[in-house]
Amino acid sequence: MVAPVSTNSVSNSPVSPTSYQAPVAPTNSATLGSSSATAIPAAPTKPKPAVSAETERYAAVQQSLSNAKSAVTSAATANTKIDESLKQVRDIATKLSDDNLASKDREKLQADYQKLREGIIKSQEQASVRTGDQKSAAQTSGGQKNDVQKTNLLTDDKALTTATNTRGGQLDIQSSKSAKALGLPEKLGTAADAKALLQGNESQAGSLANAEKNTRDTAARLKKVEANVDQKLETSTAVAKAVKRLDAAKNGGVEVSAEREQQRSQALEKARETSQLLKSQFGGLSPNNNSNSGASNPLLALLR
Amino acid sequence: MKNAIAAYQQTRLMVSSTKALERQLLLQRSYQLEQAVAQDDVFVMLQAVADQRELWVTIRALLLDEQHPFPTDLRQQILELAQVVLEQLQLPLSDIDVDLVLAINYQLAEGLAD
Repeated sequence: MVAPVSTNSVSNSPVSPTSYQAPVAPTNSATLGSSSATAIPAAPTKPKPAVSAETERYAAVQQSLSNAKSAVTSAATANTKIDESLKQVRDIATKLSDDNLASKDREKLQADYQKLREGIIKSQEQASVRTGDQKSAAQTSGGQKNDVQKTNLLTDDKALTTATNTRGGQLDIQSSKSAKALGLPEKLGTAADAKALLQGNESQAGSLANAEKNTRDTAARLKKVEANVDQKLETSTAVAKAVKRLDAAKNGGVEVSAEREQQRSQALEKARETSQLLKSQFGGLSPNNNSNSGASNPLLALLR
Repeated sequence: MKNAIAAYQQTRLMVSSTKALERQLLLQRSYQLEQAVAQDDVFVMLQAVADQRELWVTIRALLLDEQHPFPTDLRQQILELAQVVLEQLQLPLSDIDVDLVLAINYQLAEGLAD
């Protein structure tokens, strides 16, 4: 939009095209005066957007890939825990398959088995991450908004679709579609139950061999997917960074950094608030405070 | 009644020690990150960042559990902090706001202090 030039106070004397000087827009209101013959009324200026639509699209792709990475990492962590539990299940089932086991011992082992099975279910559930807030490039430009949804790459029925570029490229990350507790039976009440669990082959749902194969396949698949997502994330991060810098350069670099500074301050304020709220809590971050062993407390398992 | 008191004291001790261990973990990982920055070694830094990511992914996974005993608001706040930290940790090493990550770690550790 071109600002209208005030002509009412311009002298009538003809102006030579070569000597004409373009009026300069005042930068300070103090310079605006009624006697100023060359003053241009300031056009209503729109604040420049801190980030362009292009930057937003690249950021959306980056966010989408980051969400995918979180989903893959969570699934891989949970799968590792499940793998460890299955080793213990095999050990317990082997003991339970002994026909001569005393009933007291059988009951104890049965309880241990149920605990492990519940742990497997818990691990499966913990693989859930929120991914619904990701916006694909198409959705961002279309102004649509996704509902918040969770992704669980161990148990979901469908694949997670991730944006890989701003031209609509997508990557489908398949879920293992594992059954609850990998199909392991709720109880191993008798030696025969334990034998059946141990003797079933890899293709037999509900057998230990099937659960172990499922876990191995998942680990291998997630490893491949993680490498693929990492590679794409690296590229998209580099591109997003370049586009952002270009944006910042266009905007004088001020607005973007101001926005970042604001987000940083908000995060620090939130951390301080959280710290105060945490102090008033009886328990810690681990939901099950009755266990300080690394085997049943994933957070404390990270202690070295 | 005596048994109930003893059980309460036992639980209190257990919880207290869980919080202390979680605090220790946060401080341990923060120290590791600080040392990595000081060493200026890209591989050490990569390891420290990966360890931070593992820590925060685990924290997030725990807090995503709807059975978690924390109030919803607090859970949500910690999840938002986890998001901020994990976003930082997926940036290239030179772009990570290490001070911000450390500040959040220390605040959380402070909150876990008895």
